Amino acid sequence: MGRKAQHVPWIELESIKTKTVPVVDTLAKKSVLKRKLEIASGALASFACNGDAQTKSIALNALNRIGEINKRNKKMRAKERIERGVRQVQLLLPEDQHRRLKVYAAMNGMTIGDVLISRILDIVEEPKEIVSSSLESEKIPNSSYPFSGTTKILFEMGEALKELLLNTRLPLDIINKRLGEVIIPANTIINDKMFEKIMLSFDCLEIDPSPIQQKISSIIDPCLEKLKQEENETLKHVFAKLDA
Amino acid sequence: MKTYKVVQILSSDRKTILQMKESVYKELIAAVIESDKQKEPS
Repeated sequence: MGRKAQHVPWIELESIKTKTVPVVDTLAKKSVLKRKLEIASGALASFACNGDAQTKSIALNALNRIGEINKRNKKMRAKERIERGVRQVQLLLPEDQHRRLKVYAAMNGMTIGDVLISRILDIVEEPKEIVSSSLESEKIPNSSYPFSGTTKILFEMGEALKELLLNTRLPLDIINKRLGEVIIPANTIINDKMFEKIMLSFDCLEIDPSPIQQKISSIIDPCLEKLKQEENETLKHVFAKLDA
Repeated sequence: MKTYKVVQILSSDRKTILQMKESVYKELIAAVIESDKQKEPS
């Protein structure tokens, strides 16, 4: 059960993300948008590398378009650049191509780039909502407390990491593997802002082997394991159809 | 309670990714089931 899903192009996405991140990185200043665009570009890159010829060309064009928009409009605000980029990308996916890709996807079971690309565009298209719902609220709404599921796992991990790292100075660089950049240079006192950066990269942190690295791993690794379990649990009902 | 702010962002990201995976898997499984049906002798 679920074995067939191993072939979904999404799996390749993780390794390809790094190639497109520099383009996307400058596109959005807000970390939330950056992460969404990182996901979007990663998926597009995945199809550019692994899709059939038609998917490849559409995905490549979309990526190039994002890159061009970015270069030409350095003075524009991040949000405007994104909106313009999204509009341009949408123009590259005319309806008939969309339909043809969908038919191809249904016939082959493997290449379902159109489905994912359209989902991605839906997400990138609504940065405003994402920002307002996630960044502005500082207080914990009563409705979501006590936490459950993913929020609970992440919150507990966050509190443990905070206790370990906040206002301390690490002798080692903390690197975001996905972006390939140092997010916290060695010997810097970790303040709130820096702690936020660590949290936002918690699943792709790289620190040289050391006692502190072991401590951080001992907090993050069980959390990642729990999140994976929860994800499998959530997706179970989808795969149940295969047994039916 | 700054942790909560970041947790909200992370949760929302994970939810989005999960939704995307879910719909991709659903489409994939539907395609597999459909192709199995077609292979079955009538």
